[in-house]
Amino acid sequence: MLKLTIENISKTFKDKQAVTGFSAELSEGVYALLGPNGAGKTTLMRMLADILNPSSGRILLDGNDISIMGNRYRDILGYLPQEFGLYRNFTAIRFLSYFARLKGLNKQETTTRVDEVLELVNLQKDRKRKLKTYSGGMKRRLGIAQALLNDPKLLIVDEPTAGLDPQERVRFRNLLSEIAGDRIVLLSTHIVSDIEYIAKEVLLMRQGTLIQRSTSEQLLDNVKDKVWKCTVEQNALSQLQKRYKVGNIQRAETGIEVRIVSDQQPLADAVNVTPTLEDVYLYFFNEEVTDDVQTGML
Amino acid sequence: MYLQECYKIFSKKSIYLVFITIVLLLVYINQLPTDMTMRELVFEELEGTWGGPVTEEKVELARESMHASDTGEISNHTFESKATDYVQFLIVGAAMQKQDQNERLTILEAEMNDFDESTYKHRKASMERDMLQELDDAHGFYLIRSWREMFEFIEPVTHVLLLSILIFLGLSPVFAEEYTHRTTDLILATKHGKTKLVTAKILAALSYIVIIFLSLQIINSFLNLLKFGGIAGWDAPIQGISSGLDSLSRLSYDGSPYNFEVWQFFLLTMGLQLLSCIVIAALVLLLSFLTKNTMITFFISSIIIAIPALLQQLGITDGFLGYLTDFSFLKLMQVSSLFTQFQAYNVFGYPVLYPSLLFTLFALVTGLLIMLIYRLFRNQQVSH
Ligand SMILES: Nc1ncnc2c1ncn2[C@@H]1O[C@H](COP(=O)(O)OP(=O)(O)O)[C@@H](O)[C@H]1O
Ligand SMILES: [Mg+2]
Repeated sequence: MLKLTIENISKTFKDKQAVTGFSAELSEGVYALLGPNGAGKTTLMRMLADILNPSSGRILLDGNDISIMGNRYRDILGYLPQEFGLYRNFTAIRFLSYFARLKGLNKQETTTRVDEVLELVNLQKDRKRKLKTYSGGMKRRLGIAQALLNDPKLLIVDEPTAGLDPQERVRFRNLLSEIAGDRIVLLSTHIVSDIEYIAKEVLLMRQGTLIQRSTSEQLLDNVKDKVWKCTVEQNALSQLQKRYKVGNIQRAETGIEVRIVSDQQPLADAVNVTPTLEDVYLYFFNEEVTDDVQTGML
Repeated sequence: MYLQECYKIFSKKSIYLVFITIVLLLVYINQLPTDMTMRELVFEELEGTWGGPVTEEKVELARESMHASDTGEISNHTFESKATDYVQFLIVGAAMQKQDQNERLTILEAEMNDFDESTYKHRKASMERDMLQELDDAHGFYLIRSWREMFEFIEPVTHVLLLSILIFLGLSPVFAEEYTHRTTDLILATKHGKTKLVTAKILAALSYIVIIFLSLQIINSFLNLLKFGGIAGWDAPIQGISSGLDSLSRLSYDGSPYNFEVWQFFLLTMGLQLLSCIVIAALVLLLSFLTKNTMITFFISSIIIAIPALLQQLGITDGFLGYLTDFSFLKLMQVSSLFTQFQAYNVFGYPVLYPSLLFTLFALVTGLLIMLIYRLFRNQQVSH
């Protein structure tokens, strides 16, 4: 069974520590890396994709250092970057054939495999179009197709659902569960609904460190008895948002229905409700979400 | 992979635009009138009388007849008489070259006597003497039709300019564009993205060079064959190519110590020019990789090529900078100019001919550049 060991890796850019002492061991299954913008997810994944060298620490595949394995490691790797460009003058077929060759497939394998992945991401009918005519969602799907070309044993996808419409998102989830099988899949996201159904485990990341690792059920335990629902007046809302982590806000006949994550009962008429992963996210990352909107822009 | 890399290079519209412009320029220059093209049949007759190495009688005859026409005894208004004048002019020129050569031989013999056999000066003189002796009877009048314009495009500096532009344009993006297109992350995570890809890119670049070079040469040769009417003179010694009265062909080989027939020299210059293009290509590829920016690569490459010309303009031709000019990319590309005179350099006490030394050095440079590209590519990490 395949085993990816991340051994205390850190990455420092000039003055910025993006990843700090991250350790984890992953075996076959789907893992979700969850964290707000700027948490270090992309940096971690680029190190796992052999694109960046860690400042310290090691990454091992079945006990072998990946920096020594080199192309033997990349041979089993599929990677979808968060941001990437395409060759504008290439058609989808040309693009995928090029990457198939880069991934070491021979001519024959290339032809059949390109066909298969185009089918998987539903781009068959657009396969002869130039990529400059592709929409954002189509580009991302093509990116996913590219990652799957070599039938990777280790699939790393960075924010794969960003830019996809809800329908495509569902399709992608299904696709991922379909292909999960006997490989390691690591996907990063800051969208909670992505992971609910497919992830075997969730890795929570904040400010470059791994803060918790658990199954999605266990994650819910974090906010057990801490999620409340109550109805308040319009003018009390901003006061409430200052003091508590306020999630879903909904207009109701009697006022405004709010969802609050808090250790204590926030208001006398607040009632406990069943927690969801959104509540977990709110619980861990409320501050960061607002903070990092700015850092994310830089 | 290789084919797609070729596609990336060849799918740029700009190279076609520039290529067509260059071809149009060649066509334009080609249709400009030239005084004497040796195209006319009369030259074949004249070759019958005057052709081949110069002899005492031919020179004597030429002198007399030139004198006669100068004093107006013979009318020189017909084309035929003009052509005859021209040929006689060439004969006298060749005789002067031959005399120069003999004088030079005397000087060289003297030098060889003056200096000990183990000195560089002796060796150098002896080298030049041997070359000149081998030339023997090369000087004379030969009917050489299209060849004089075929060793370079238009003239040596324009030649470098045109080829450089095409090379820079086609190859500056080879590595740089992966960064501007933000495809590096995709590529570096693939099996061959840090190894075989670089070979594919270099081979694609090489193919580009060969294709543009050959197609331009073929077009240029074709135009000249049309204009000058055939390949006559292919087996003449290159010393038969003198600038004569013709203002366009600035290069003149009548004083060259190299013993080549025209067709040999043509093949040699073509081969060396292609090599020099490959050298430039290696430079551009490395810059493309290092700067990660197409425009900057274009810019720096241009400067590197242009610096020797600038130094020459400023009159800096001595000392270290002089050597730098002699062994520059610019000189390397002006292949046809390398063979017009005897020039040798002292390498550990032995004279080495300038073209040989130049190309040996740049073969090493190219090897080094390509090794560097491979090494850097293999260890590359994206920094942003
Ligand atoms: N190449 C880089 N140079 C400098 N800082 C970087 C670089 N890449 C990422 N960072 C910084 O590292 C932090 C983590 O970024 P990132 O890994 O992109 O987080 P995430 O993917 O979770 O949003 C951010 O603060 C970001 O600004
Ligand atoms: Mg990210």
